[in-house]
Amino acid sequence: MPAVRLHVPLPLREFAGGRSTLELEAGSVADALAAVRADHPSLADRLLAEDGSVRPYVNLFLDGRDVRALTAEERQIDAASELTIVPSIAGGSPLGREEKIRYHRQLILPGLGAAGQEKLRAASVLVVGAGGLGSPAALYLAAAGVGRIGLVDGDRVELSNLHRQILHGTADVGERKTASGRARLQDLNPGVEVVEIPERLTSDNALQAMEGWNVVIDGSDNFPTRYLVNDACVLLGLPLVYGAIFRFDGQASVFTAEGGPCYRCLFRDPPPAGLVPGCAEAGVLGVLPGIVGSIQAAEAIKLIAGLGKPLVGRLLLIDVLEGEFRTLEVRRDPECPACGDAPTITGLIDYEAFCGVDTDESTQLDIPDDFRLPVPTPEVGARELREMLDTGWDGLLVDVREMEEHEMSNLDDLGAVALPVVQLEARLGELDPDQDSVWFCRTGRRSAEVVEFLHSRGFDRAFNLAGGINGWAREVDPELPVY
Amino acid sequence: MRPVDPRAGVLHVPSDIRRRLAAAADRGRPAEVCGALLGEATGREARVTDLAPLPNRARAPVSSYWLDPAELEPVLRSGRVIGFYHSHPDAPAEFSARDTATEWPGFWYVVIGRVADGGMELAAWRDGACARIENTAEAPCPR
Repeated sequence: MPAVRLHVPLPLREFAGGRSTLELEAGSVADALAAVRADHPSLADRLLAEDGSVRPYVNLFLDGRDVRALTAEERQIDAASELTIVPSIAGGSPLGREEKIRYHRQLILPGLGAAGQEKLRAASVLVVGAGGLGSPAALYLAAAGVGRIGLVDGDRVELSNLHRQILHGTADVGERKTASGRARLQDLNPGVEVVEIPERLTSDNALQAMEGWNVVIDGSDNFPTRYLVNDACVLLGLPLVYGAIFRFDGQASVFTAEGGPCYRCLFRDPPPAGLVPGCAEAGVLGVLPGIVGSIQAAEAIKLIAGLGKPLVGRLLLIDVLEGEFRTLEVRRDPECPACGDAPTITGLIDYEAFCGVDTDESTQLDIPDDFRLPVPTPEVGARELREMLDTGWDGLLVDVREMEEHEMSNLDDLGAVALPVVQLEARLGELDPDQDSVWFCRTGRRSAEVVEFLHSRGFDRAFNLAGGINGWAREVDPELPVY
Repeated sequence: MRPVDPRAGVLHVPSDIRRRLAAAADRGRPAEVCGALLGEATGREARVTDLAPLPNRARAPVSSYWLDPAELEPVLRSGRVIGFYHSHPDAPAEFSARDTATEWPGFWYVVIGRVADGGMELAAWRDGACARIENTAEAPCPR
């Protein structure tokens, strides 16, 4: 086998018998690491995580190339090679005198402190849309000392923007929103770098514009951009702070973060074509984006400074007319086309076409008065249902499948009742709209439609069983057949 | 002046190296400059004999530094890297919270800082503590 010389940096030499290089024989990088594990286990512990991958603050280079960027084939070693352990080296300045004064009121917050402030200063946040949501988000991020803020917007300031887009002033009407926004942010905090991207985000420019930022805030006002930003964040592995508003309704969440869902997990398809109004057509209470954009800024700050519990796996719903805030538990969909286990979206697509947007501007939108922002179907997971049943839940468990499927597998021993989809409308009167109920089918698709229908009829306590009976078999009862 | 912790050890920095560090920090302003310290280390004592300046690839170089591993790799292969240096263009040579969080125990870190009257100061850090700097006249010349 070829000879491999492993270069060990000074701090790790004590785990390599005091040597600065180790001579190994290996046919691949994996072989070499196995040899290290065999001869110098404590060195291997410092290089490798439990799953065998190289630890995040360590880099491994094979003949001058980062092993993480190599294909399996390129990790083969067929001639004498050099393997170098390269530590991640970074740092920064402590806070200056003026910074200590400027940020004093947040520096004294428990959990933030100088360490958190330095993290904010070293962080970069891209704000997509310098409009209603982007205005408060960017203002609060700049005020809080986020070191680098990007503004993406292709529009110019109009007088009718100003009732909600507080990043801009009356004197800015006609200016590019990114230029007007930059001037305002730098006046607020000259220590912050503001990057202008005066373009509309498209499938052609999105990946380039979004790469390299730490956090993305979606302040867009339309569905094509929302799906575009979501998919780009999935592809780039960036956390996405989502916000949306419509008339008196607001939503916020954190998507594409570790373990959490993405926008597509909740809303696989956009609302029907022609039903995608913006503020210009539908109207909006100016203070609403102020609330939602401020929540987005708070979530970004929490993510960067590692504070509190980010809105991962929870969708915050705001109804300013009713004066209500509530959160829905939401979960990652393993079958999601963007972030699922076998994603089908592996590049950016044509989002205007995907959302059925009519590019003919003369078309009049006919928006019903009761149109609301889409809300995901309330659901419970298999393990969650098991826990509910174990702790005395006395709701109704309903099987909506056809009778033939019932013979393949069923949850009759848990007291499930059968109500095939075709009989639903006829037998609706037998059900109590105020009773808790969980509905299931094979995979959770058909029963999700049933639950949406039930909610439209006032059954507010109806939940879908995520993953269906097959999910239950996989997660809770392995004796049940998966079909 | 910050208290020196004797347990952190002693770093010998010849005056020509000190001058090079100060000049690099000055030229790099307003950004932080950074690079590797080359030399010899034995236990708690080390001697800097040369510097390997590296580009600061941080996204916000005015308040932070980041070494690109691909640019650091050939320097490390020399086997002479005993630690790293960076400048604080507008702050003292204290270790920041971020410096502490990203520190590799066992490496020597030199920080070139700025003091209130605009002058420069040098501090050495190892294992989270401030080490003593010995100012040797010049690196010994081989005869």
